[in-house]
Formats: sequence, structure tokens, C-alpha cells
Amino acid sequence: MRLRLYILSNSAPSDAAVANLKAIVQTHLAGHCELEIVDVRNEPLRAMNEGALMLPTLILSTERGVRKIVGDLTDTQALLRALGVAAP
Amino acid sequence: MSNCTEPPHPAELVKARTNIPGFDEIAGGGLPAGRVSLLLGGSGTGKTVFALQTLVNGARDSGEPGIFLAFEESCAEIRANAATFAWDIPGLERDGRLLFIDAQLPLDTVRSGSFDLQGTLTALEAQVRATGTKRIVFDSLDVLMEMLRDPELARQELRRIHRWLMELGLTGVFTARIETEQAGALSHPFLLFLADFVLLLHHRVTDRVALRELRILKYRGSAFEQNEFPFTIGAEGIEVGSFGVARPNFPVSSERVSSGIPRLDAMLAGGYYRGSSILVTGAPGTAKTTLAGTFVQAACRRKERTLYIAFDESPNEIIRNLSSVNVRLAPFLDNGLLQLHGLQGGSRSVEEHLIRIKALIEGYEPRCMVVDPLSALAFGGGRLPALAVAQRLITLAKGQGITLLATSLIEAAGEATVEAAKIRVSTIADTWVHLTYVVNGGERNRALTIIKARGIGHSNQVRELVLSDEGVTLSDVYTARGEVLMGALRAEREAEQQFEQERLRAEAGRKRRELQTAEAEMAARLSALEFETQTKRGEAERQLELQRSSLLRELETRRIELERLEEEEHLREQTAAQRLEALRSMRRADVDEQTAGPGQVRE
Repeated sequence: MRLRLYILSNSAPSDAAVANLKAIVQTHLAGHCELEIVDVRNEPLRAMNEGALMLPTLILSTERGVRKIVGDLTDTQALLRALGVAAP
Repeated sequence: MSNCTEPPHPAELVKARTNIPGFDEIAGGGLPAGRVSLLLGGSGTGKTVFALQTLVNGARDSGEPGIFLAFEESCAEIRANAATFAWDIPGLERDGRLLFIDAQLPLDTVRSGSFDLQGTLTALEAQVRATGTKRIVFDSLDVLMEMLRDPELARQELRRIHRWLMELGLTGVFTARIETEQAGALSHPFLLFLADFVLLLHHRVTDRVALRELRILKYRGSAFEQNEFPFTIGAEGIEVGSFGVARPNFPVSSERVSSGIPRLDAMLAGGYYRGSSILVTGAPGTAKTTLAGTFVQAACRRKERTLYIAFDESPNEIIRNLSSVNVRLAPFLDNGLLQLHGLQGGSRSVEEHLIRIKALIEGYEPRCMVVDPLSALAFGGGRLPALAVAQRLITLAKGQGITLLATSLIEAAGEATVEAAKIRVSTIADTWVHLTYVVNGGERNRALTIIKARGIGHSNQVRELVLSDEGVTLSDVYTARGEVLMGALRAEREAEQQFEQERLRAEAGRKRRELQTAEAEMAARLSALEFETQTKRGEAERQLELQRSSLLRELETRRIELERLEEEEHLREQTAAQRLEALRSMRRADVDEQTAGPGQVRE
């Protein structure tokens, strides 16, 4: 599982997303995933090419395909469900 | 409307030309450059096409690269749709002059907490600076709003976009869907205040004919045309029927062109004015097309290019039918002086037809033109009032200095209809020739009246239009007890007139003869009188003569008597003298005695 989080540094939702994602990865996916954080200030075209326009956007790549998760990831349950690690 | 977060507008309003045919004319030059334009309309009204065409034309014609942000459809879908137009989008994309950005959120996108467009704009800004982008399309805003969900957030983000566009000096074009025609039905009415320019697009179907229209609702700081304008979406994209937006300042000619009927030219004191519009109205079969035909024939004989737009009949039918009244157009089709196009009245909207006619005019540049019948065009479908259609057509022709003859069907031949039509048409057509059927004496005949002829001292008399295989002529008509007589009745009336004339002639002859007789009689009487006078005079003279001669005779008698008396006296004297001598000799008396003797004797 590969996680790529597109953010805009120094913006409230993005900063929140980075913190939230890091916490979840640490709690639920430690060692099971690859996390990359991309700041559009540094790589604007990359975000666009990947269709990550609403920031923050988390791109989740698995064997089953690619999913987008937009938002500051404060809705942990929605994120966990998307990651497939939600408690039943 | 005042918004302290809004940066002040630049002092001068610069227009970004869309180069959408007809649109820049009604928008006073184009969209507001460096500002926000909003395109409103229901589904399938052409918002996306309009926006994309603005980008394509900007990139191709104005050197202004563009970005298309696709929120609603995928870029692949948009490219596929745009491929139906002759725009060469792949070429523009290759050159980096046009960029599609897929801004859709896939259906399976998970939402987790809040987000905003700040990052989007940051990413876009890099792109804008890299490519020198000048125009940007957000298609569509309502999908974007939907993504943001929270209306307060949506409002905040729109302001952000607006501010961002202004800062970068980008010309922004937003599309937004509305379900009803009221702009107030917009889910985010503040968009209206945010935008400097608002365009409303319609698409409706009337009488099974699709009609597209657009109208500028708002143009901050600029003059614009407030009317609705029809538009079509064809191979080149959107084309706006902005007929007659240019103010009517046409070159006016005093030159006359022939109607093709000498007698009608005479009634018009020389013919139609060059560049004027002529309306020929009448019921079916009143020879409207024939009048159009003679006009065309006359134009072609003058070697003037002529365009004939036929709605009811096929070109071949028109050629054939006109040849039956000796109007022969086929040679002019062959030598290129005449173009005859048959259009299907109800098949397209009026606007599409007008746009097609405009294209034909621009392609052929005719000097004379016929639209036959205008009514098929005007009432053929679409929502545009017939008068507006006529007006647009006339303005279109006048703008090019084309003499336009349009026919129009008027079903009811009643005077009231004519009067009503007059009110509506008189404002636009320069000359109005009305053809009617006059039914009496069991037959129909065609009557021609010039109801109006602007600037021409025209005849107000009704004439009979006589069609024969010799050609078309006008004939005097008779009026009897307020009724116009034609055809057989006219012939009858003519015969009657002739009979009456003969009767009068005969009567005059009789009178003359009577007079001659009377004159002769009088002369006879006069001569009789003269004779009498003479007779009487002769008698008198005879009498006089008689009297004179009798007098003369009497006179003679008297003279004779006198002579006799004198002789007697002489004799007596002689006798007396002899007696005296005898006495003397007897007495021997001297001479003295002798001298005194007779005296004494006599006493």
C-alpha cells in the first residue's frame, strides 16, 4: 500500500491532514505502507497531473486500484474504512 | 455588492475578444478581460461549448493561452465532444496553448474532513506562470460548490478564486447550471454579484424545433445589447445571430431598380429603391412568387448577382412555374448570376435559417435577394416573433446594400388583416405590395395594390395583375358601386362601356341628324321667308313699277294732252293771228296797233 498526501504547506487543513495521517499510519499501518507527502508549493504540476486539486488529497494505491481521500482527515472512521483497517 | 476584500478594478475596462461569430458585437467587444464572466444555463444549453470556444479562439487568435478546469466531465469526454468542432484542440494542446485539467472528484472519492481551494490555486498559479495563461475556465461552478458542500465554505472559496483571478489578471469564465430561466434560481446567487459579466443561455423546443438563445444579463461598466439573440452550434462551434446590432446607418440610394413589370415601375414612379426592402403579401396563389420572379429576372438582366431563398417550393418547381408566365430564370442559374436555394421551413429554427442565409449572403455577395416566402421562415418554428425575423432579415440585407424582396403569406384577405399587418410591417419594410383575390362574377382575379412605398410618390390605384404565357402585366380595373371589377366582369364592364359609348355615339349622331334636320328646316324656312320677302318685294316693286308706269303713262297722257292743248292753242293763236291780220289788212292798222293788238285780243 502506497500513500501519497498532496498538501499546501502552511495552510490549516493541510497541516491538520499531515498530523492526522501520521498518527493513523503509526497506529494502524506501521510498517505496512509507504508514505509520501508532496507540497504543491514545490511540485505544483505533479498534483495537477494526479488530479489532486482539492487539498489536502490523499492518494491511496493498492493492488485493487487507486482511491482519493480529500479533506483534512479529521473523519478518522471514513479514512480507516478507506484504508481497509476499520474496526468492524 | 461592495466588498472590502475585493481588489479595486483596474480603471479601464479591457475586452477579451471571444471571436465567437456575432457575440463580440453584442457584448461591445468581448468578455471583460482580467475579470470574471459567468455563463448561466440549463443542461445542454451550450455553456461548456461557449467557454471552450472562448479559450480555443483566445489561444489561436489572440495569443492568450488558456486552461480548462473540468469539474463536471472528464477531460477525455470534453476532448471527444470538442473533436466534433473544427478547432484542432490536439494541436493547441501540443503547443501548450491549451491545457485541460481534470478536476473531477471520482465517485469513490472519500471525504474526510474539510479542504479548500487554496492548494488548487497554488498549483494552478504555477501552471499559469509557466504557460503565460490569460484565460481560464471553471466548468462548472455548481459541481465545484457541490464538492465543497458547505455553502459558507463555497462562498468563501469563490471569493478566493475571484481574488486570485484578479491578482493574476486572468480572464475567468465560470459556467453554472440553472434549471429555470430565472437567474434568481441560481443555487448561489452571490455569483451574480461576484461576476462582472453574466450571460444567460437558453435551449427550448417550440413546435418541435429547437431554438437556442442567449442574453447578457449584466455587464459591469460596459454597454451591451440587452435583447435575446439566437445562436446555433454548428461545425465551427457557436454562432450568434446578432443581426442588425450595428446601428442602422445604411448607405441610402436614390437609384431605382425595376420590379420587372413596367407598369408597376410606373406606379412606383420608377421602381423600387436600390437597397430597400420590399414586402409582397397575399393569399396563396396570388402570384407573390411571380412578382419575385420578375424582380429576379430584371436584376439578372442588369447583370446583378441575385440570391433566391425559397421555402415552400423546390428550386426546380419555381423555375418551371415561372417559365409558364414567361419569366425565365434558368439561363441565369447557368451563368452564375442567380443562386437559388431551397430551404425546409420547419426543419430548423428560424435562427438557424437566418444564420444560414447570412452565410449565403456573405459567401455570394448578392446585390438583390428574394426570400420566398418570409412567412415560412418567420412562422416555421422557433420562438422569435415573425416581425423580429423580418426585421433581422431586412437589417441583414440593408447592411450589405442588398435590395430585398420578401414575400409573405397572409391567409385572410380581409381588410382588417391588412390593416393589422400594416401596423406591424410598416415600421420595417420600405415598400409593401399587397396582392389579393377579388372574387365576383364567379371567378377569382388578382389585384395588386401598393399599400406603402416609403419615399416614393406611388399610385394608390388598384390594378389587376394579369398573368399569361406572354408574361406579367398590370391592367386597369373598374370600380362599380365601390367594387373593383376584374377578369370577365372587367371584360363585361369594358364591353358595357363600349356599348354605352356606342349608344352615346349613336345618340349623338341622332341628335346631330335631328339638328341637321332642324337646321335644314330652319334654312328652308329662312329661304322661304327670303323668298317671300323677295316675292313680296318683287310685287311691291311691280306694284311700284305698275304705279310708276301708270303714273308715267298718265304723265305721258297728260303730256300728250298738254301738247295737244298747246297745239290747239297754237292753232288757235294762228287762227287768231290770221284773223288779226285780216283785220289789220282791213283796217290798215300800224305796227303799234299790231303789238298791242293781241293783248287786247286776249283780254
